[in-house]
Amino acid sequence: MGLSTRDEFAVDENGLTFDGYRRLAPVSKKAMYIANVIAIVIVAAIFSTPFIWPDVLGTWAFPVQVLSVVIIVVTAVYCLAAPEIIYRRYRYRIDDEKADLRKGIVFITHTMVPIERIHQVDVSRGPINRAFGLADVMITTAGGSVTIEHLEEDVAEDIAGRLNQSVVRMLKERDRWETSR
Amino acid sequence: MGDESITLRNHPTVLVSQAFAAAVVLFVILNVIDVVDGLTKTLTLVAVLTALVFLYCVALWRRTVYTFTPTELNVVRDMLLTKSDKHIQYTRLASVTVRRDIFNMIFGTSALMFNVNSSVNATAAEATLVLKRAEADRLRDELNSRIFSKETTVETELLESTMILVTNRDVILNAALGQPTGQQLFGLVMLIYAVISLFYESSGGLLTAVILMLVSYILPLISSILKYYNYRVYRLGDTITVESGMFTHTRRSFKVNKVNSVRLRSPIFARLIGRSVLEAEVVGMGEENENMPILCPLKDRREVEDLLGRLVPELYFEPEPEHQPRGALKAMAIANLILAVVILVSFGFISGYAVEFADTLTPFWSATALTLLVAVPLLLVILIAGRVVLAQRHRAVCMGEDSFLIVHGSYDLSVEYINYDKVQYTEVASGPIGRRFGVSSCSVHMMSSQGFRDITSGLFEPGDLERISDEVNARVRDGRYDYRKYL
Repeated sequence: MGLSTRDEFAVDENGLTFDGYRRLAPVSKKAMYIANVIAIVIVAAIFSTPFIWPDVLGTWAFPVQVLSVVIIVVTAVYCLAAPEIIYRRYRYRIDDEKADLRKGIVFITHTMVPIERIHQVDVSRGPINRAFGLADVMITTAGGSVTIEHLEEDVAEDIAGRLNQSVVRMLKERDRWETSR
Repeated sequence: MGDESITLRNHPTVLVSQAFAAAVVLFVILNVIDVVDGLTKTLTLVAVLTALVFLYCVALWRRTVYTFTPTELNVVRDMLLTKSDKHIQYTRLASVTVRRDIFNMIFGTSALMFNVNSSVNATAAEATLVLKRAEADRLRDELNSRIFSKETTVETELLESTMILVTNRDVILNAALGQPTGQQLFGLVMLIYAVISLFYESSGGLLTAVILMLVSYILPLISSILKYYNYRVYRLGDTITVESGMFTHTRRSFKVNKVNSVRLRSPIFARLIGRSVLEAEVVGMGEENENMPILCPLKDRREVEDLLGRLVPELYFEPEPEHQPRGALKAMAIANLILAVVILVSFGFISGYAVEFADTLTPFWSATALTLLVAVPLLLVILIAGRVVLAQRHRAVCMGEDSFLIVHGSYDLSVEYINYDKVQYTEVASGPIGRRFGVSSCSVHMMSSQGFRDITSGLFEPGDLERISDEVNARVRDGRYDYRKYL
């Protein structure tokens, strides 16, 4: 499938897209908004310093101030628009062969992790996610890791459990083979 | 070794080399921080501190033992406060490297470095053992027969002829032109800067240029010559061995099933004279401080391709590369046009301010600064345009039976053959411009000698790139992938 088909974001009554992907829970948007508002505050605090101490910059004060305003505005627009776009585009699918993840705002990525390559699966909950009953699942391979973010806790535990079972089953088979050598 | 375990300790001469290294480092540090007056006092303090280090090294030496059992290497270090007990299964070893530095040559010893097939701590050898040369050779032979199913001895290996004749002239050319294009250009710019500074008698500028050129180009050049001097490469059964070194002679062996990918890399100046470097991504070649071990220094491209076919036929195939579609050229042209405009506007903005400061500089530096403000953006724009042309001409993908090919880069062109079974995961990505023209790039994530690395393709139709992941999964599904092949 390509990256831009007509109704790829529409879901049926089971919460699945036409090609069997799942979407995030609507509550994930709230978690993303809160995280992004915090990010805006931090960026605004850092880039307001050219207005507080303009003398330090001398003749460069004005261009740096203009640049700071641009950075704050762009960050704010991005952070406020991002959750809705992320929510609409974020889709994942776990089957017996691979974990499949499609996401992105400006750059849309389609990540495919073969189950056979998975070394470790972790479920993590940050303070914002915890407040909304959400969790992230981090899938680690020898070539790096992929995270499925903002899942409902029970969904995250279910995915991690299934993937862990696959990994354990695979390792047991390998142990059996190595001891039989 | 047979079926019995043997227990060994490092040769005592390691204490001398460790103490010498400590003395040199201490001497340099004490001179830099300048806390002691006079050479005699400095040397006395160095001697006292070195003696303490020596005592610690003796304790470390006495309490570290290496036990070779029929199935694993067990390294036990039992110090006063800490105890470590490391078990390294022979099946997990990617390579056993023999290294001989100046101290080894003086004392007639060899260092055996055991590298594990893992991305964790991939840049350091898992264990190092120094033994008398004959004993090290004997042990390596026995381990080779266990790890690599290799029955040859070091004596026969020494008689084995190299699969490609690499003269020391080739090695020097490799050091000069095999470095990444950016590094070479930077070295060239610094050389020009040094000459200009000399002409205008600017000692500060000259010193800066010389130091930068030394660090960015000359030192890597010397290091490369020392490392690859007297180069030999050969394959015995499933084991590839690479030997080289002027003062420190190193012999690196690894099983061919530990090779994730091989690549023909051609920096632009090397490509102009039709030469390429052959490199291999081998997880576990941990003692290297470089991205990929070299299988053949810069040689004629056809000779290198021929060597690739004979040395690693498991990964090589006659490619029928699929080049980037026309949409990719349009996408790259628009993206790079935007980049060029941003660069020109930024430099225009900076120039506006720089003119105000021109009067405060000497006439030479004022003229230089203004020239650079015009020349640098123009040069960057030309380089960007060149990158688009080269990328469109060369970038390609091709699916083979057991491996696939990605041609990536532009000035530094890499033709990379990748084993499907070593792909960890893939990521097909498209930006807003690429989506407009229906093209995406694919990042293939692999384990590497430095931990992990990505190989990113050019711009192709997403469906074509997703075939890589489909093939990886198909091989797992139908049994063509068997993890036992890679143990």
